Amino acid sequence: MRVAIDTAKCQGHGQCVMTCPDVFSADEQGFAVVEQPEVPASLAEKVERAALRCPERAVRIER
Amino acid sequence: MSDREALNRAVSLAREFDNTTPEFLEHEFETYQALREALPIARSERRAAAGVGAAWVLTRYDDITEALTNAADFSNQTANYPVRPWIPQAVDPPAHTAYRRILNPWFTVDAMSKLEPHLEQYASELVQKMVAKPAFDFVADFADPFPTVIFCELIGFPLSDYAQIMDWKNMTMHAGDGHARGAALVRERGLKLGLAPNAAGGFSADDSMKIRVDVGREVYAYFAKLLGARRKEPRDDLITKLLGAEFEGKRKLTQEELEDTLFLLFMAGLDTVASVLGLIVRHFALDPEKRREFVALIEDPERVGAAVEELVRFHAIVTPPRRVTRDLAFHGTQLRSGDFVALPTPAANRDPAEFPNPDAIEYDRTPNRHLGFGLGPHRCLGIHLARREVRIALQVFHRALPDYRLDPARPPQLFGGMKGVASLPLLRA
Repeated sequence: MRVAIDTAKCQGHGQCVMTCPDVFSADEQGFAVVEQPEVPASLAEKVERAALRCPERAVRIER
Repeated sequence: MSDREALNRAVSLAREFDNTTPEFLEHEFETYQALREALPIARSERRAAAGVGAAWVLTRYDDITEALTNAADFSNQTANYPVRPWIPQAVDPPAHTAYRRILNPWFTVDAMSKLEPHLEQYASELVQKMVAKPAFDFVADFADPFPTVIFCELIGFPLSDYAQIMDWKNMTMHAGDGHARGAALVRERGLKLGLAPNAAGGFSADDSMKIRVDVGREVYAYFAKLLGARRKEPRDDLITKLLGAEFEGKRKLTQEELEDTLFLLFMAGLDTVASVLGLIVRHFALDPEKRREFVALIEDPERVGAAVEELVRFHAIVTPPRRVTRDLAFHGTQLRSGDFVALPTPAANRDPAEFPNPDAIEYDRTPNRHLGFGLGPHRCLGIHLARREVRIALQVFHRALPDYRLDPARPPQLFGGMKGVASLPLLRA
């Protein structure tokens, strides 16, 4: 699984950072950054939950 | 009810739609549901949102999210501002983006996480004092001072000015929404200005504006004084940081920009968390089962965050207005350039198309893309502070007092518009 942030959509709600801090962090403006684009299987469920929680639908999952 | 009857009912609900009164709250969600089902883009001839007259009222989640994220067609330049438009709330991109780039770093998850020990400590202090009293008012004793004092510390408003700041806030935000203190202060100010109240005890639209301008100028003068003091003697606060900020890295902010930004922070920061906390705890006082379910999970770090999000979904307070910038066919309705739309987030957050079983609180709800903090470029700047304040306030309060009920002798006082609770006397259960 790969994950990316659509930076045109992200507004810094921070839901992904709170849901899966191992994969997402916030830049100094508060927008999401992907720390680990290749998601290990152990974190796949959390990343899926992060995508479901993003109000701007800015978390993109590719399989 | 036939489709035709439902449509006729929705048309008459829409015509009379005014969510700025406390009476509206008695049938708030029935109204939104009737509109959403029969007339999802409805024309109101009255006050569809604070500061706006006739407007289109949107009630579907998808339509509201579309308007909130499309800043080109739905502009934030809407209201009659008492002095000047607020920064960044009343500014559209691209200038908006440049102002937000200045403010964002001071309100990030990391910056706000550092505040948590202080939030916990101050919340505990207030709660201990409150529950030691034989009878208390959750709003006056806790929900108002907690976020307000934290916010004054962050911005750099002297705490000795607390009462004055609350009065200014109540006159600016709660002149005509059923907030007793706001109405009394506005009336006093109107009489002082030589204006005559009407039969209902309020003022004409023109006179109300005169009062807002008078109060606004006073608040701006206060900001000018504080900005002057920080220029001479910098401190660790947002007023000092704003003085050092650069617009697009090119120039310092002008005196007007500094004041307009402080005014927005003052408006947005003083009321919202208090209102949401008041609505949640009033609900819990009336619904002991939901309260116990919440109290059972407040120590579970895996669940409490999602539970707070669900409570914010359920008790969203804001109806942002937008101004349509061009003639636009919008989901079957012809909008005209200059029309206003009202985007009630409480309605979006109860749309069954997005939230199954929308009128139930489900603490583990996933997904929960609620609009309680807004969406798009203007989404709440203080989101990470607000979330922490709501969670910590609810944890600290329920640890100290898990069982309580309304005081039958002193019922809660609600206000409409950007809705909330002005007074919430509670008794131990």
